[in-house]
Amino acid sequence: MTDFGRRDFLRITGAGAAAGFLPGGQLFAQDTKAGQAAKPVLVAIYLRGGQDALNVLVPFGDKHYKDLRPTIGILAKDTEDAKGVIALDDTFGLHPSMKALKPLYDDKRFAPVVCTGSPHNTRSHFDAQDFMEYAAPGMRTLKAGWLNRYLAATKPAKTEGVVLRALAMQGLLPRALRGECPALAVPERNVLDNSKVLETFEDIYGKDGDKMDKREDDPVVATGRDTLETLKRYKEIEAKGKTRKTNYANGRLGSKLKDIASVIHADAGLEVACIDIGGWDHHANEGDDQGTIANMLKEGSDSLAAFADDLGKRLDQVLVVVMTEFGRTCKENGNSGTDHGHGSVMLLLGGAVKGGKVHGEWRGLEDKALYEGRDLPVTTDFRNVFADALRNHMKFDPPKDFFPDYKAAAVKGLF
Amino acid sequence: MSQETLSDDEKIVHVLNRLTPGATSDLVNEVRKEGLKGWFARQLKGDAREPELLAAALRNLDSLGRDCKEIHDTYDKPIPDGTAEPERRKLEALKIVPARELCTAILLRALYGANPVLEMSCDFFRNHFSVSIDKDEVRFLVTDWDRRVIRRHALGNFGDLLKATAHHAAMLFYLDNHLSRRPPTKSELQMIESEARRTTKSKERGREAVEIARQRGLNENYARELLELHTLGVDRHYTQGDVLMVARCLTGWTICRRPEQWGDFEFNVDVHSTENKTFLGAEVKGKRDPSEGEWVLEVLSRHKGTALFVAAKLCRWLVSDDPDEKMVMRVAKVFNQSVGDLPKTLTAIVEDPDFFKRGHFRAKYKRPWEFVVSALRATKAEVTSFDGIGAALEAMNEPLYRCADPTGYYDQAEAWRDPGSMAIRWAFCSDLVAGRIAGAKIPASFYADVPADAAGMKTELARRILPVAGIGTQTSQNLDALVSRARKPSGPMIVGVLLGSPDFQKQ
Repeated sequence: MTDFGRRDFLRITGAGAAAGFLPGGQLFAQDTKAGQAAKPVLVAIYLRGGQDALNVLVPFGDKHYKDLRPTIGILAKDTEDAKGVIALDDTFGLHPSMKALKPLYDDKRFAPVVCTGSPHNTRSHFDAQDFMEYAAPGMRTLKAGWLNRYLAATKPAKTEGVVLRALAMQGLLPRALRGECPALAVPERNVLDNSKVLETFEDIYGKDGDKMDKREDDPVVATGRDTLETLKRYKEIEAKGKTRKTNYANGRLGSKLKDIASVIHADAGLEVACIDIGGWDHHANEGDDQGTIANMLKEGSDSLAAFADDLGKRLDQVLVVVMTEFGRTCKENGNSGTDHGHGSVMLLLGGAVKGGKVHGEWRGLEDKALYEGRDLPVTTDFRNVFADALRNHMKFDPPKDFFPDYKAAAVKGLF
Repeated sequence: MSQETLSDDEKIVHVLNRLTPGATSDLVNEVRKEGLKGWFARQLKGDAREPELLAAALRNLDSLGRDCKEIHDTYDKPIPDGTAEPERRKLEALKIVPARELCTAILLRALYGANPVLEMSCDFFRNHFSVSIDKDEVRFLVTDWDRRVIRRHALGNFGDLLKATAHHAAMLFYLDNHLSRRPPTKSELQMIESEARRTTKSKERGREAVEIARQRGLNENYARELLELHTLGVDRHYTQGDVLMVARCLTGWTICRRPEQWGDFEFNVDVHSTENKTFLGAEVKGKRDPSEGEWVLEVLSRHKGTALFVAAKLCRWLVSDDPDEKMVMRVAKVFNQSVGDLPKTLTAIVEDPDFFKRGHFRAKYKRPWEFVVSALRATKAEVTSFDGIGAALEAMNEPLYRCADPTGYYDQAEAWRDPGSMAIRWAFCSDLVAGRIAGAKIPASFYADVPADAAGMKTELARRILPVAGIGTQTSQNLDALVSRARKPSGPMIVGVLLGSPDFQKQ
């Protein structure tokens, strides 16, 4: 991350801390005034490892699908032994574990985009994630992730009072959020909720009896005070926005979405939130209607549906984009898994997205339609989806160089 | 307190804090006896015999002494189609052993090794020539890389180190040079297109195939980082044209995949770009051997820009986040005149008039690795595995050998002072003293002979954890208040607070 933003951030927050714990802090944007339209929020969920698109949005209507996936394929219809797809149209259906998303699809809030991905041919997780988070395939010269570039480009002229607009629900900022604009990496729950430790160190860092050490000039003391203040404020906001009635699925995504929903309900100026969910690199035993992927998809879909339910009318204000670095081989391998591929699927929920339809161009699973004869081709550049989301949902029209070396093209009918 | 010059004891603590993984009371005593100068000169050889306990622990790490081929053969076994489940799991588990054992060894050496200056230098160069085990095969290559590249040269010569990195599979793989090949010729592209059109009967697919073939050509990744991150510094002394030329010089520098020499450096003349080239204004004749690449590395290792860039980085690491420019110039001059002699360069830093400035004394914020390791050293923690410490480093955003960017981890405090970050350090301190960190325990003996009364306990533990320097007045007063409120102050409670105090965050 570049250090300039951080320095600004510290200067602002450090000033607050030196004045002796300004109540409420200045880390978050001021609460939305009555009558003012709530800010749009983009929630980016990154599934790391390369999710197997063909078992998420299943092309059951394609006659080749069954042959490509003899052991892990999802059936077109329920049988006595196994559940079949949840059909969306004649060609595509959701994995049976994703049934919680079907009402949202019917409600036109949920939209899959098929064959998304990068024009770059890398099959390395590392590079593909990098290229996607900087939204610059094949380039390594950018210093800020695409979401931080958005924050920088839309930075309010008056920065005072509007400092923290982005959260990552993990101890580490994802690359998409790195850059000059500050974002808070929210520590894990066990750290956040450890009030005994926080109180102890508030005693050590917080009080100055005399000025012998000139501690207000000490940046480490300032960081400690920032930490105490930020977490306190974060917890206040979260508590204010807490909505207890929704049951989230137990799991990694559910608890993080629940925290984000609390912050959104608090109207504290959040614009971007990031969540990473790892573990999608299924080279072996990925399972079919049951098993590894089925469990992960169930937790994910139930959590997303709970999030939509929790947000209620605010779902108009919030767009969720679920993405992964690449798809996997169309044909299953000898270990009932799949290997690194190319084209993938992106899932959009909420905001202004036109759901109830499978978007993107589908060329079928015939050998010659496949990328290098083995993977889904990329017919929608992932940057088209990013750009559409920024333009139509965040009301930010990305300028020409926002995505370097990129020819703008919208995804037809997505918004 | 405010004298301009540091006392002899303060000088010892300062050197130990900056040029080793952390000062400890025992080490301070050792240096007092030997004298700082003599001790440092001996440390620069990096050949002190390791204590038997450490040596035995390292011997238990089976993968540690193996080369790339042995690691590949032993730990990266193919999993054939249809392998039964328990066997498949076993083979998967085997794949993560070498990197985990390497991380364990790095940690144990930093904690218990007899060559703490060497360990510090390894830490610096691991970061300078950063590779990540998260990138595919790198996890099988880092063991050999760490031993034969980093550790072998960390107190040797920079030019030798640079050349070793350029020839090693870990770097060739990590920055993609193993894929780099001369751009396809026009006739080769035509062949690819017509072949693709013939098999798919589609004009568009033919064009796609050409695009893919083009991407499979020259890869500038390593060439760019070699100039930007390893030697000259970003956009200094070179142009984009030079990057291209270096990439062309290095085409064909790849990794041997033949079983008998798996992982060795290999020059593949078939993909080497053989035309004449110019680099930094000098001409080099295109040849059918690796000599152009060797020449580039030689030029870079002797370049004044490299001396300045590496000197500045070393000063940032060892002296201050924002080192004095004149000091950097002085250190760069020694680096340049000694043609990259690292012990001479480190000596120049320690002997520089700026090094022992009062303003530098315990003024530098520790990186997470520095913080964790110094805390374990200060408390004489008994560490038996990497797992718990590895998780703590990951929570603090500095997992070992897993920097996501080729830049290496940041070496200035700003990058580590996220709001929120300090809470993770505090939680670590509280977990460590409570014995909740897997594989790391502070032994009861650390608390032996500590006075039973709260004030005495505090003073003695502060002396043990922050030798010579002790804790600042304000921290001390706040700690007194905290201790007096506690019903029964305990050693571990006080140690946890001391480790999390502002005083211990700095070196």
